[in-house]
Amino acid sequence: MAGKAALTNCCRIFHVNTRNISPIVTQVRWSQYNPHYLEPTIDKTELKKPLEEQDPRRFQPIKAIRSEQTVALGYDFQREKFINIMMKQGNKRLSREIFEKCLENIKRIQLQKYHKSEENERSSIELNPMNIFHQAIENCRPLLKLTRINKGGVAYQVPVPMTEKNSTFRAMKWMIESAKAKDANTRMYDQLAHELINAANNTGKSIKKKQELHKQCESNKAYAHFRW
Amino acid sequence: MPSLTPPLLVKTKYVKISKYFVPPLWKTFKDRPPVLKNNVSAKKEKSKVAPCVEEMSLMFSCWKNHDFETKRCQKEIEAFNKCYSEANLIQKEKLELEAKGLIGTKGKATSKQINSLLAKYPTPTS
Repeated sequence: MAGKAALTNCCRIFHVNTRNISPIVTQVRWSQYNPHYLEPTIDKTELKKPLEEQDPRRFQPIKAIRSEQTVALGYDFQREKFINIMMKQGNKRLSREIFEKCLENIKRIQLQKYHKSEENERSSIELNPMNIFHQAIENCRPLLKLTRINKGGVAYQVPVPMTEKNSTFRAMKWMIESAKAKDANTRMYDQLAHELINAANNTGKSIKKKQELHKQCESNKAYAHFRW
Repeated sequence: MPSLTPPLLVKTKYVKISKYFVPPLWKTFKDRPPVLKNNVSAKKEKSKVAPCVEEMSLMFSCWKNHDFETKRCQKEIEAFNKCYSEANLIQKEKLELEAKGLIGTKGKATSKQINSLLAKYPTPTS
């Protein structure tokens, strides 16, 4: 026990999973790499291209790839991002399990729809769960956000355009939040599957959240020229 | 050294400009020659106009008409995104030029740019 307490005390910048004690220590924030280090290339088409004479990758050191990054065929950036956002206390195994079961559920639901429907309607039903996942994120993505800007001692809520990275994060966060708002008896992966299918069809809680944010931006449109 | 402008050194009558004492020009230039300095004072850039406000308002009105369904306002959204990305590009180019100490083809030069140019080409002293 003394060892465990010492470990938790000394590792302030690290997050240690104390529930199931293991020697694995995961870093919480900040890159410890020197800024000279370059990001690794994971894209296969990019890797096959020959390096140019003056390519910085010839002369500069390159970071090691993260644990979720691979050159495997099934690699998907948004999927790994979603799993990481859903993760709690570094328990990635559970997070990944929930996501995979969710995809399984989506496939099951869509196949049921497919077999119930008539033959002429079948071509319109999407059966690939990953396509539904991407469509859901695309539909949930907000265009604007509100930021607090002080002008003459008064704080205004000003609508500001969002970057793509930021809006993707918001969309994923909303989907996870709305999947967590459920009964105690229903499982996360069941709820998440329904949420994703709804979002892909432009309905559901997370789409509502996006519309609410847009409404707030609309009500504050008078301050849009305060942006900078 | 350029010739000192004689009219500046002519003693003139004291004229009341403000309620505080303002020394006449001949007094301020008495001890130092009227030569321009090789630097200008650092000035904060005046607050710029926010880009794409018009496009944004068009988008808002479309959203309000169509019950905030973004799918129905694809045209307005595309126009807004295009405008915003263009504005971002212009800003990025300007910042790059500023970092190099160059002046772009458009707009006013900042105090930083003027100072870097004056350091390269100072005012002739003789």
